[in-house]
Amino acid sequence: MVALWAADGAMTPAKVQAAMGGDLAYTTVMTILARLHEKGVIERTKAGRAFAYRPIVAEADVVAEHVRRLLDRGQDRTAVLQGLVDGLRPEEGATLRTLLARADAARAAAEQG
Amino acid sequence: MRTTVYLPFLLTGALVVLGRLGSGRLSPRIAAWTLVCCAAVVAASSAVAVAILASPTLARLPMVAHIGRWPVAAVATRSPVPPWLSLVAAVVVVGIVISVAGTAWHLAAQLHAGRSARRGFDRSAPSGLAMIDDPDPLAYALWAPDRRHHRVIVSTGMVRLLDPQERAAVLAHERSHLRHNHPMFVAVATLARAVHPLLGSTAVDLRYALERWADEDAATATSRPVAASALAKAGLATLGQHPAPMIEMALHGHAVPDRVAALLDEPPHHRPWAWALVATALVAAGACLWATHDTELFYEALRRS
Repeated sequence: MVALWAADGAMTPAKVQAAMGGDLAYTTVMTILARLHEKGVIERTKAGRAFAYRPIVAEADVVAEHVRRLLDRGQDRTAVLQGLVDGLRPEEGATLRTLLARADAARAAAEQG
Repeated sequence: MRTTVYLPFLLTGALVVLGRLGSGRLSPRIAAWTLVCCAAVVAASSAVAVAILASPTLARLPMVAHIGRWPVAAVATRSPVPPWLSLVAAVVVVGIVISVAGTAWHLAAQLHAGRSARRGFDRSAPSGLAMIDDPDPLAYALWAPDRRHHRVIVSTGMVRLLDPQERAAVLAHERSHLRHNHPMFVAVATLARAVHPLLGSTAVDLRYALERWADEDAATATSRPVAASALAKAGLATLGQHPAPMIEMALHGHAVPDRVAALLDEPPHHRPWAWALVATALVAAGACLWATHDTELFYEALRRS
């Protein structure tokens, strides 16, 4: 699902398999997509000999409204919803950029080592 | 009853200070558990202590004196609590009851709101991961009492921002919040703060510890630098979004940069601080029990006079 959402248009099973890093077999990807289509989570159009799959976004917009309403409900919203990042101040940007550079360096070093 | 009843209030202050100092020096999981349990114990002890101080005011009312079978005049003369203090305490008790009731109602309302959001997801995201079409980078854990209804909500903006490993780190972070029921920790701390406003500081420390706990789980699932870079990228991308930071996090200081820096270092381990916090809470509870026992004896003696 994540691969489908990240793409900007409809994707064939081959493209989905590639986007997922080739971990799954083509037939597996095809089966998963077919099942998701049966559940009504994604829609498909014919593209050559295969189908191109696209996630059904409209439903999600309605849900986004629910989530927004939850978020706007005053300060203490974390009894139910906990986010990754909350309320950054402008001056924290410079610090974060420095730290991000450190993190990138650490990742590069780990990949080489 | 004379002195022990005042101990819980002193110890609330001690807990707040120890919590602030100790939470950065403990492993996040231990910090979170210790903070939430100690806050709950200290809050309960303080509430009982205030009730004990207020009891002479209540006991003096003719109806209560009749039920308790003690002479009204004797309460006034023999009470170890000065009448003015007892009256103030009575007002505080009423305040606490209103505050706790209001907070509990507020928490229940949030749970209900979460339920309607969750129902919207049940069709479009049966598997637990829900995407919303939003250019802002958002990643949330939507909690529910039933484990099967837990959802991780991620926006398309967030997905486009991160590379595959970083996306895995974000998912692991949110799943950690759900798996360990962190919103429950927050709910308990919020109620504790409703009893004693000073415990708001402890609640902030707890929220930080919970985020660090989830960060550590994300680092375990991927790697420390990957989790650090995911968090840093997400933080940088949200800089323009919230011009007015939540007061709670502002109290703690630079939460996101601290978290990223902590992920780039080794996790802390020092245990002794946890025991200092626990000891504080136990003494508060003990003082409270002792004072309750003394109070019982006091009213028993009154009854016999």
